[in-house]
This record gives sequence, structure tokens and C-alpha cells, in this order.
Amino acid sequence: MTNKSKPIPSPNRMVHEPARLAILTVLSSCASADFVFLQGVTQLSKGNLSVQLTNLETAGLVVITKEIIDKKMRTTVRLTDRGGSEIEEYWRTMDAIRASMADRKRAPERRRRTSLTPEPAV
Amino acid sequence: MNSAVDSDAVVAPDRLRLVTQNFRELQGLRWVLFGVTFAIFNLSLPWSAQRSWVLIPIILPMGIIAKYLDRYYERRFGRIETSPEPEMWRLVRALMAGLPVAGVIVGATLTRHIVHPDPKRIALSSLLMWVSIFCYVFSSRLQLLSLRKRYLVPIFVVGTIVVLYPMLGSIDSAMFSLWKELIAGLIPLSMIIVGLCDHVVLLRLMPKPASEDDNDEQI
Repeated sequence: MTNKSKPIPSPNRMVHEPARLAILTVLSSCASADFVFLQGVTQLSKGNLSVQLTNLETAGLVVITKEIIDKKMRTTVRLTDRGGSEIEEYWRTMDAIRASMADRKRAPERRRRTSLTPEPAV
Repeated sequence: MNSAVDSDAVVAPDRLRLVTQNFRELQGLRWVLFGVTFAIFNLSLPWSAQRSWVLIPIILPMGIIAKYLDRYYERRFGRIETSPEPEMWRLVRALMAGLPVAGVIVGATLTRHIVHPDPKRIALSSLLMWVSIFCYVFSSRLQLLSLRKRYLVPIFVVGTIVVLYPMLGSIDSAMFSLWKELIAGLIPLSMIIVGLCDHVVLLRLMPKPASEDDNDEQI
């Protein structure tokens, strides 16, 4: 396999951004999480988390529900079916990229070994 | 542990999954409360055997504190709804939960109706209870073992040495009484220490975000 034979797959840009990736990774490990938990675990600022959640909701990857409990707003976020499949697809793509990079690293080594192997006597 | 995620940061998916999947398990202050209740219950046993109402002033404040703990965890760390576990894994978990119960029952049966207690026999039955409880704690959340081993292993070793003390040689009646008191306090004390350590782990995994002027959630 040569470098030209297999193009490197590109990940979904919407998922690949670190803040959004962190949010989606957390949501893929539970049924739903509230704003406080997401902020605590991702360590994002309120403003950044808010913007990223809105972006993800616009992209149809998460569903945001708001309810007032004890006179306080509680924001709960859950992954949509599309969001779930997008994050799974993202990790599959990253695995493919890793495998592809490892393959490219090994290719010159293989070529060097092949060139050093003496040709069999005819 | 600086785990902030900004536009240039690298996401640690394993850490995020570990915290999310074990969030409830790491809320160690519940274990501390359980351990304290257990310890007070043990201490009050001589009185409560005759007057059961003695237990009411113990259980009531603990119930209030448990309610307060729920609110504390929800406000400080937020809340999640966990994904439903596969049926098979739920069955395995139920079987593992039966392990300490079986250990305690077998241990208690071995020491029942002993008029002249043999320290070695009691030590063996206590060891059975101790090991079965710890096997359950060790294996209940295997993902957490890498974080918990720093305190679970020393507690297990020290506890095992205490439990096996009568096996090391003959002990007199005064020492035997002291040893029995130690054994009675071993499990509540372990719960308190493990709970506190779990709570510290959670605080380190989810440090409080830098304070911001507005307390309202945006979006």
C-alpha cells in the first residue's frame, strides 16, 4: 500500500472542535446531562458552553430542554439519534486516520527492508 | 488537574467518559454518612436493644443530612440521567451485591451460639465478611480501580491485618475485647475513609469552574 492509494478520511468539523467534541463525548456516555454538570466536567466557561450548545442544537445533534425548578432555570441536554451516530462516526473516522497514519509511517520502513533483502539466486 | 477545554485544547475522552459513567459512584459523602450512621448504630447497640426509640434521634438527622447531600451534589456538580445498563450487566451487578450479604450471613452463622468464643474462629468469620465486602467494592466499578487503588489497597491490607490479628498468636481477654471493638468499627471506618477519598477524586476530576458574575445558565 502506497501513500497515494488510500486518502486520509476527514472528520466532521462540527464534531471535531474540542469544546463540542467534549460535550458530545459526555452526552454519549449518559442519557442526559444538565448545564451545571456539562460545565463542571468540560471546564468550559458559561458563555462558551452556551454558544457551543446552541451550535449543536442548530446542527440537530442535541436537544435542549429548559424547566424551572425551585425558581431556578434547569437546562437539560440530550443527544439526538443523529448526534449519537455522528459522534460514533467521528471516533470511527479518527481510528481510520490513526491507522492510516501508522500505515504511512511504516511504509518507508517496509520499502527500506524490501530493498535490503537480497534477491534470490536464479 | 487542569482539564479545561478551549478552542486549542486536546479533549481527553477517556476522562470525560470515566467521570460521566461513574458520577453517582464517586459521590462519596453518601458513603461517609452511611459509615457514620453504621458507627453510631454500633455504639448505641447496648441501649437500643432494650429501648428501640433510641434509634429515632439517630436515623432522623441522617435522613435530613442525606436530603441535604442530594441538594449539595446537584448544585455543585449538576445532575445526569444515566443510560440504561444491559440486562446481563444488571444481573451480574445484582449477583455481586449478594456477595457481601452472603459473606456476612455465613460469618454470622459460624460465630452463632458460641458460649466460649474462640478468637481464631471469630477472626476467620470476620475475614470472610471483610474480604467479601471488599471484593464487592473492588469489582463493582472496575473502571474506577485505577483511581481507587491508591486508597483501597492500603485500607484492605490494614483491615486484613487487624482482622487476622488473633491468628498471629494467643491473645488475652483484655486484648480480645479491644480487638472485637476494632472489628466492629472497621467497616464503618472504611466506609468513611473510602467515601472521603472518592469525594476528593470527584473534586479533582470536576474542579469548580472559575466564578462568573451571572449565576444564571445562559443559552
